Amino acid sequence: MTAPDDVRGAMLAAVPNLRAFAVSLCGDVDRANDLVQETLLRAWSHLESFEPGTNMSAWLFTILRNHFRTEYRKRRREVEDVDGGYAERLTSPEAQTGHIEFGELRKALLQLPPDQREALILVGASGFSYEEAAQICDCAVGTIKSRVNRARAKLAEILTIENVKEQEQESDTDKDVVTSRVA
Amino acid sequence: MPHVDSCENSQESQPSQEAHQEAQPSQETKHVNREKPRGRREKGQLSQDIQRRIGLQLRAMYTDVVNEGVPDRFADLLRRLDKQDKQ
Repeated sequence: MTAPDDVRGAMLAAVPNLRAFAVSLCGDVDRANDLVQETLLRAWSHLESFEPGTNMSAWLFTILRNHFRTEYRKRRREVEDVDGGYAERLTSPEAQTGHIEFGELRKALLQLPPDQREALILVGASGFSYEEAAQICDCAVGTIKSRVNRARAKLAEILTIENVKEQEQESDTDKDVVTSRVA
Repeated sequence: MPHVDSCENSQESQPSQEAHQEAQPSQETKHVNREKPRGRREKGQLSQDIQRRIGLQLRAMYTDVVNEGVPDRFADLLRRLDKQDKQ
């Protein structure tokens, strides 16, 4: 089958978001890149199932998400690199965000069950609506909402503990940075 | 995400009220008092604050990867697939 150039363009345009989704999901850049590659290959070989005029990005997200879930199930019995690669390999963002590191958030994200994690990322970071996220995850809108809520609550719990610990250890200067960033 | 937005908005509009209800105003009152885990109300405030920070950080972290653009391997891959198909 021949893909029209605009399909290739649309796939290419979706890559940065796909990678961000994949990195957030699996916590590892190399694995994320492999997920994206596999997603593009699958998408390319199933272009006939893409309905022209619909959201290419959502379609690719669905493929990536399903592939990740399959992989995840396969990997479950293996030793998981929960705290590993991700947090340590991507340390550069610190420079852009002052004192708030992403490392904590990444580790906390990886502690969430995958269904909550994916829901939170899709709605809270990728910018999909609850309806689109429900479609991508093949579940009801209400299910997505409750997963997002549970994910937020759990992250807050994890990060609050971290936060309190930090505050006990650090000076007020830190709070200034945090507060001004939030304000 | 309507409920989250409204949560953030109400947070936004009430810092002074919250500061007023601070059980133990301290020398840190000059900062907006959102970070201090004291009373139950304080904890609620803290968790709202954390929620907002989580939202910001999550998006920032995500955007960071988005901003890396399209690595060559993916552009190459699609070009290769395209070429194959056209042959």
